[in-house]
Amino acid sequence: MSEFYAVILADNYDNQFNHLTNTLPKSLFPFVDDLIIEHQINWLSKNEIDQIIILYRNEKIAEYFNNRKRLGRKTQNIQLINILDSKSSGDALRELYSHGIIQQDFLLLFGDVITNISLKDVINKYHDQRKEDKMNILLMVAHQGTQQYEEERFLYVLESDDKLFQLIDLQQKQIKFNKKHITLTKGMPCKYVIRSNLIESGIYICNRDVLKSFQENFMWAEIKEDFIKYMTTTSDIQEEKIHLYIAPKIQVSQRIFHPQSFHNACLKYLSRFFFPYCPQQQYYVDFFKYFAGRVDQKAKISDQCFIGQNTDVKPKVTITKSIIGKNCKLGIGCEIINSILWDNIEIDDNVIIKDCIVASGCKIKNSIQSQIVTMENQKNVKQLSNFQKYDDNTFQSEDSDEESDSHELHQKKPKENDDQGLKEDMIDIVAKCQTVSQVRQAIINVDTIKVNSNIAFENIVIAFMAAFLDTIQPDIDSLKNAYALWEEFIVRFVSETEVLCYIKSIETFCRQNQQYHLNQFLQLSYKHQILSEQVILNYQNQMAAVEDDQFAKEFTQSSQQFKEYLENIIAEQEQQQTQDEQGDGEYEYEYVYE
Amino acid sequence: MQIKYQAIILGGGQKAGSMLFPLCQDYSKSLLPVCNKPMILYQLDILETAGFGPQDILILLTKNHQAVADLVQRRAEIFYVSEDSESGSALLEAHEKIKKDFILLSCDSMIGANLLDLLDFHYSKKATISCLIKEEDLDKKQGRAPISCNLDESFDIMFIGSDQSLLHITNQEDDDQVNLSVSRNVLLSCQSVQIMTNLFDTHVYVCQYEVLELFQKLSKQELEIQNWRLEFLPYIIKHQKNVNLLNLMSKKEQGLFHERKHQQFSIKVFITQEYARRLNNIKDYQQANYESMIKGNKGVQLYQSVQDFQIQNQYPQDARISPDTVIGEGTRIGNKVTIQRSIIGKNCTIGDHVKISNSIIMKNVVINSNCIIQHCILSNESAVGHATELNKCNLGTLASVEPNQKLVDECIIR
Repeated sequence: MSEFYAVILADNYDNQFNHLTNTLPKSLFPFVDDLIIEHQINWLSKNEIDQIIILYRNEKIAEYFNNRKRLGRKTQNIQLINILDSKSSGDALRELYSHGIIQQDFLLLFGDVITNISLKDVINKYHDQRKEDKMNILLMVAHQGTQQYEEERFLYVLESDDKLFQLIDLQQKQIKFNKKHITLTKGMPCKYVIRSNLIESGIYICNRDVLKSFQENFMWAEIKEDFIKYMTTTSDIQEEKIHLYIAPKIQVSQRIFHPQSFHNACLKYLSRFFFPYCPQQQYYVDFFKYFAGRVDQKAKISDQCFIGQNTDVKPKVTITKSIIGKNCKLGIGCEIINSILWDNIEIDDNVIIKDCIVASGCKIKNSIQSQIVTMENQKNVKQLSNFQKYDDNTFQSEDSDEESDSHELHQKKPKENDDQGLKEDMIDIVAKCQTVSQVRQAIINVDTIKVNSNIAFENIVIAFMAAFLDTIQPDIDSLKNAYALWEEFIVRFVSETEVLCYIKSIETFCRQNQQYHLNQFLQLSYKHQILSEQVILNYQNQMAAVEDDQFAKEFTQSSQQFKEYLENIIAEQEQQQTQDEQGDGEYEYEYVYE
Repeated sequence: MQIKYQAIILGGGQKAGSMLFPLCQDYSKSLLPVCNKPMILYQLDILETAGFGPQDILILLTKNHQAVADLVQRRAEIFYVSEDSESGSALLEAHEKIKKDFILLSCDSMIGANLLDLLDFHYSKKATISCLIKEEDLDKKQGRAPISCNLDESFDIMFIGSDQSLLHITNQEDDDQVNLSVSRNVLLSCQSVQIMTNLFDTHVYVCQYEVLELFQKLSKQELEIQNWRLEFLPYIIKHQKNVNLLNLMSKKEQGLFHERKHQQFSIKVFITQEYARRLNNIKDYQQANYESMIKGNKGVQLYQSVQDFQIQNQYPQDARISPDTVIGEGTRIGNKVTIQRSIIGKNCTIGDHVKISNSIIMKNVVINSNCIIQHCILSNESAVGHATELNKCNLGTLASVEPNQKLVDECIIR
């Protein structure tokens, strides 16, 4: 056991909680009575796993752990590894591999899992599988339950002994089984079982070979879409096998994908689904209500609620299925329905809060519905953004037939000439590409370079823009063609952190060459969804505020119309969203206790 | 309390016996004997033990199977259907005669299972259709390899859900398509689905009355659904979660709301380990006869009662007849005759120095002296000339073979 590490991927790479995760990584979200990551560490230590590695992207986690003092009987050995530059969990795993800490087996845990699965049987099963066959490299842990959310909806096709044969997503209406891959013999007992009542728990027991595979196939971004899909679909060549551990019915887990599942997980936690991990017994009242603060008798509190410490609930307050953190002040006559309030929140009298998540430190003066409220920059600025209504079409399956196994590796330039080498490579690549498929090939090439020479995204964008801007002519058609051609490439490499240097490089270019108009670049970037409205508006405002700059003044004038257009769009969006009534969805709990 | 069902036996149509050439050239398949008892009598006996009286049993026949009608007229009601009808359309023609939920049997199904269990299962699961399925295990354990229910090489691939519903069925030989394609909604309707290849469909179905109306409506649409098993059943299994199909079924007026909710279309399987075999081809027919010869503990329950009724004949001293041979009444056996593992019908004449092994000989057959007959089926009134050797030959009704012949693997008709 001493060699067994637990690896927590303490960050998410999607933007479901976009608003909150700008400041606070998902692992540090408060979950009822403690932070999510504390719940996980608690669970791991109860399962006798003391060596924990946390892969983090946001500095706040490092700060948190440096200042962390927990009284506990056991002290855990927690190592923090920085994965700042990663865009996906695949990158994080590659980073982990390069540190070389993991020698044998490890447990991989996503940062948004709340669970009570007992690991002893899981690890025993894993070791048994390994003894049987060295090719069993991954054990997925799944629990039984009704699949509720889009991310959970899969059909698990299992062979005997719970070996995973295929994982089918439920996008298509007709499920196809390739007859060549299935062995069907007359009269033999049943070999394949298709189960639709399993939910992946986000816990994997892996061998070091898993990390090696990720290192070898550096295009792999996700565990499920890339790694597992690859292992199960190319089964005639692959020998490595993935098995499934199906937890007994009382052991469950819940992943927090989005606000609905966050709320659902909180309510399940209060309903003691994750026994023995429950809120403290001393706070329990009845019907799954936990009061750690003072609650007036005249307040109406429904079942499945949590009131944090030092929170005063005044009379005439109605709280329905909500979680309220510490030190909150609720005014008289408030109604809080299906919401999650974090700590240190002030709410005025007679305010209705419905289907919301309110982050720490906010002051709510008006009634709000279906919103995520945060504080920004220590000011009491209310910035409101809305829940995405759960869209069935947002599930995207990775396009795996673009992966090419044979790609040209550029020669590795020595580290000193890195920048120069990169620029030359870029010029080469840009010059060669004429069609969209060549652009795709170029994406793969650039990825190779990036991984081999460990270059940051920013440098790539700068080098690319330099080469790209060289190739275009001043007329608008050439610009349009160039953007249409390179759209995929730019979208791939320019994400939120690089937009600034992207715009900066265009700006410098336009300053130097007066024939090009910055405005046109911005419009084309907007059209190809490289930049969002907010970003462009911010930039334009910034330019408008600059003094003593001829270029800036000209730009501001010429882009006035575009600016108004963008502002209209944002206003329309906001209007539309406030009109929609959004609930949090139905909560169907499968009560496991009969 | 048992809901009274109606039993329908598909006694024989145009295509009956097509795989049993030449036995059915001039003879009804239903009358082919197993252990000297015509097949259809087995069905009637099974139904009688389950409590079906003559007024509950309906046999569908075409006009050229008159002989069957003569045999069973006191035990069941006969209905004649048109000449070119198939199994499904025959049912439709007999529509007025069918008034309740019914159990559909084929005349060639040999079932060892208790029908009452199947009927109880159907009622308790409130299924729309229940199929009787035999589970077999062809895994070679110690000793001899087990013999399958179905000596055809083909087998069915069935998707069975956790609540014993039949989600998909296809024959392994069918659709040369590369993929096995199943509807997603159907797969999601059960928590876990097993893909089974060791199940044998005995062609015994218990159906609700509404199924017949559904069939009628479907056949009116331009879907060309005639055959019950090959076309209708796969069609409704494929579309069992399709809303349009459910709407076609008649709605019960004034049903209570919670009852109406249970009116879901479900096709269930009742899996049994008991004996089952379908005698629609030569190999299975022979195999059934061999199985009927086994006496004692290893014998099949179904055939035990037939054996008990065998009358002991007097045979010449020098006849060597193996104990598991069945010889019918009135058969005369000559001198120095060797008979091994065969079934011989009534009123046959067997000459001297004849060797018979592993054969099925029906009524009124004449076998002249010095013949050697191995692995053959000789139909009624056929004749074999002197000193002829027949190996794996099948003779039709009234067929005859010239003397002094050596024939292997032949089918001979009149």
